Amino acid sequence: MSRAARALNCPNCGSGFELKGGRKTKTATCSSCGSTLDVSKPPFAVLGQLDQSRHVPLGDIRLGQTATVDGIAYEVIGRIRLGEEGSFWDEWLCLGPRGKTVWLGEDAGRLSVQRVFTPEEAPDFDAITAGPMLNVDGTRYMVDERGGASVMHIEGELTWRAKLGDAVGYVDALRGIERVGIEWTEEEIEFFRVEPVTRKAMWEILGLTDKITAFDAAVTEAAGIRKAAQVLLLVTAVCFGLGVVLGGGLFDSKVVHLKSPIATRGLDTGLILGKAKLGKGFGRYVVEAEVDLPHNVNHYALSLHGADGKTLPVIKFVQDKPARNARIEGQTKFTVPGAEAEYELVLDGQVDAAVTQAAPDGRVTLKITRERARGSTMILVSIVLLLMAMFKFGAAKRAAPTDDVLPLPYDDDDD
Amino acid sequence: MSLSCPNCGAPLELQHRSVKLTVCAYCQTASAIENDRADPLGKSATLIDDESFLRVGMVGQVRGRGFSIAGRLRFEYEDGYWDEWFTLFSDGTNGWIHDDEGDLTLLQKQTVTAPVPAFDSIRVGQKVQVGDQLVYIREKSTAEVLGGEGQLAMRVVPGAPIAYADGMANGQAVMLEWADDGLELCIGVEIDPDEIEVDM
Repeated sequence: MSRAARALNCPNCGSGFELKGGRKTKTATCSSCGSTLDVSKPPFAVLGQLDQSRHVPLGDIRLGQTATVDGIAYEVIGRIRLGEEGSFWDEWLCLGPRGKTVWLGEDAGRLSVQRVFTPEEAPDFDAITAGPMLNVDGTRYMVDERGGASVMHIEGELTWRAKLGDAVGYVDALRGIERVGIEWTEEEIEFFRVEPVTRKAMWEILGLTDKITAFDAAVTEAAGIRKAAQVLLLVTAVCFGLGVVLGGGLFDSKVVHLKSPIATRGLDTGLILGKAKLGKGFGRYVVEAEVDLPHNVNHYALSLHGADGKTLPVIKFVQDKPARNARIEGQTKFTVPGAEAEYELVLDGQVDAAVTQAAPDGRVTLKITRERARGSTMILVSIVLLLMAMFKFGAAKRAAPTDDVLPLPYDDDDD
Repeated sequence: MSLSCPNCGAPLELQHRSVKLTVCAYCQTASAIENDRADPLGKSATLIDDESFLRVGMVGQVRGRGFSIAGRLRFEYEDGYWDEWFTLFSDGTNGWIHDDEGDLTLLQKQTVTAPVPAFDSIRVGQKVQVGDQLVYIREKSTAEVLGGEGQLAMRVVPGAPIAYADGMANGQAVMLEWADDGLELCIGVEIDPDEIEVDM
């Protein structure tokens, strides 16, 4: 994997440590005293002192880890933090066999694998330092970020002599999911292919199987919650649909009161008691009738007569024997087909001719109400279910492990 | 050709007629080879024992060509050092394997046929005309010869300062070195260390 280690003693505190990069390492930090050392040749000079408790790594990358990139195992041997106060990013140096290097980048949660490359066609320096576009090897990239930074912190080993405050210019450019990075100083300019990776992909690179397992478990749990939310949403849709079919309407209406005297005269030809506007809608009608019948009336029937000639039977009563001033109470439910229309409430009856004794007039008290539609109940239920589903979706979103922020794609069509 | 070290008398076996400098493996005295004589130039710094997989005396294959490494020069600059391995190829030519922190470039010297911009006028990120090539400058700095070993095709005095600029043109690596004895231009290609097959 990496080169043979080189043992040395810190010239500041005397602590012994090994340089994993071997001769490749030019700068190293002593983990005991924080000294930054020039280890390119003896005597090793102390370049500075670092507070190792500051500028700690924010992600999961650590020195000493094995990073497998493109099937090659590298060792993470160094870190450099670049930026200015309040804004910074980390670049981790990984050393592989035969001196190969690759970099892992961490920038505000965005992770990347960065490979140094030599473009055959490089942009002019003026274009690198200004302008919205860069042409690298015939491909146009849109500048995403450009600026200057300085070395804020060093940890582990680096392959050049680095010290705090060293200045570097940088530009990041993208095209679709492709990214290139350029960093330069007065002496050198380097090009990088920047491959954004997700957190899980970085864990796979670093072989952090525990984190991968926990991540997958969280994803599964979130998926389960999301599925429950989807079922709830489906049930919501069904309830709402049922509510529509059964008829909505949350308020009672169409209450019709009728009080009408009944005279026996004309009863057998149909007595119009009154009129009511009734019609198809959500729900059914309930008619409650209280009929005081003259004792000489039997076979009475209440019905609704529409303008189109339709007749809706409401209540029918057959009395075998006339009874003196019988009172009949009844309730029935019926549905009125068709659009809303005016109906006549008609009382048909049969007067028993054998009864000769004069009978007082009867009376019918009638109440027609529109039954509270079950459909509205279903709609209420669907609203509750919808709220539950939204809550579940929110819970699924909270439970789902977050992933990296990937760069916005740039395409030629955007020109 | 066999010569003797002018300092300690140890044998100096020259591997190629192009060798102009050789470092005695016993006393590290660098000697200029001219007119079949070895003239001492001074002590070469003992190079740090490193773990480079390249070695003086290594024989192998690279990109279909047999090679043997005859010597090494180490240059030190502000941010570290690099090695240049003087390499003899089986087709009779010679060149260099430039080894900069593990990044290898296979180079061959070219004749400078046209004026080259002065070192001070060049800047990183600029394109400069070198002969018929437009070279993109990637790096420029100054360095000095730290030391060497084996045999080399150039006369270099340990401690001699050089100015250099590295760049690329038409997919090839271009290296310019301004030294006291003139300008050297090398052109080559970057290679992956895995492309070098070592025989011994």
